[in-house]
Amino acid sequence: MDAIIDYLDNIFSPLPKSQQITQLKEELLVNMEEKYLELKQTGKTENEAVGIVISEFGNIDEIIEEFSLDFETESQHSLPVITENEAFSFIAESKKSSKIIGFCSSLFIIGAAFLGVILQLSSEQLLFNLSEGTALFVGLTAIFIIFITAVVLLTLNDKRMQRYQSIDQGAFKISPEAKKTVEQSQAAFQSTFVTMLIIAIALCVLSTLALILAPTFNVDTTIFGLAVFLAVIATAVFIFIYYGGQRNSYNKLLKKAPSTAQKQHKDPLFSAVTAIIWSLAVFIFLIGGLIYEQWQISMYVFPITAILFVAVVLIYAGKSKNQKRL
Amino acid sequence: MISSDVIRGYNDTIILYLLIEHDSYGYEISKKIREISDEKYVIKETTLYSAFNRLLKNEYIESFHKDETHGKKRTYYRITEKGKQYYHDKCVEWELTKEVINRFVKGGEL
Repeated sequence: MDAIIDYLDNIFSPLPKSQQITQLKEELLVNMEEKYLELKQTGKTENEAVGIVISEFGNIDEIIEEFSLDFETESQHSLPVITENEAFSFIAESKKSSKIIGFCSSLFIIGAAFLGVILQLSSEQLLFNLSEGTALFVGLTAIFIIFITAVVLLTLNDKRMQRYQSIDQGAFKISPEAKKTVEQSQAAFQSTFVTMLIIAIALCVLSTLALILAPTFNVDTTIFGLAVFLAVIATAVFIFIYYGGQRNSYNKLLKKAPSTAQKQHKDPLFSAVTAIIWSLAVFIFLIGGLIYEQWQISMYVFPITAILFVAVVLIYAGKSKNQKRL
Repeated sequence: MISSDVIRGYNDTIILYLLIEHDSYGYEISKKIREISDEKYVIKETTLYSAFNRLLKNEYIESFHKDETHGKKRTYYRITEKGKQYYHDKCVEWELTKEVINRFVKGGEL
């Protein structure tokens, strides 16, 4: 039997020591050992049994050919194989990452709402007799703090997710067993995802109601309507990013290229940028209205931003299409 | 003894035939092939396991582990629905191949 083990070690020595190859070697050994034992039982001598097992082994080139197809890529190096454990820790970490990105994005929007509320309250002398100037200062400081917090969180998060770069870029192979469990997990997640998506969309629709209804009470309540609108939007944005990010992680593992439309909506970075742009728009709107009392003019911020936003979306789509072609 | 070159296109078919009957593992399959072919085809280890890998990749079979009495873990294989379909297609292909080649084959005399 030792002779067989030595033979196998010898034959396999020029091959790469990947998990796949090592597993294959184990299996071949189990197979050959069984054959050897049966041959001995039928009365063959040690030498005869070993000789027969080795002679019926075959050509290692067949193995090289079959398995080197798995290693074929544009790069010279063999691709890392993702195990089941690695796949699920990637999913868990992506979930956490999406949560952070979603949280930061919502925070920006809430910050804008907060600023608006503070300014409105101060102008109505409802807030400890703070002057509008002080209120503006407080609001801006809050936004600044939010900004710093977000930058720190996002940078740390990015660092943490760095180790999954190969998965992000698709430069990996996943074992069939791992793939199966991931697919099962994704199927289970799908229904949750659809539910949350519907809830988020419903929230967006409901939030516009707040915006429309608010001015009907009082011109001043417009701001509170706007704040409610933004708060609800912030929640919806969080849902989009959190669940979209998770869906993304499954797609990445299973190498399903998302359609461009999907990619835009579900890409956490894109959603974050969207949130920032719209918060800025709201911010400018508030400044124009409260500081310069020119609500009717500052309202135009929104259609202008919408047009610019569509332009950004188209550019982004064009760029990612080009990147894909490369 | 059949040369492995000739049999190359039908190794998958042979293995799937055996798995349709019941799940099995490496050595048992190679033994069966030897028995059923009356020792006329003895499949090589490398050929067998290359075939397993191919069949797994194409999702014609799936693998699972069973613990044996000696504490060894054996890899068993089971045919999938996709595999059954592929097996059927290969059988049809063989009938066609057989019929065509026969037209060019004289009964052994020259």
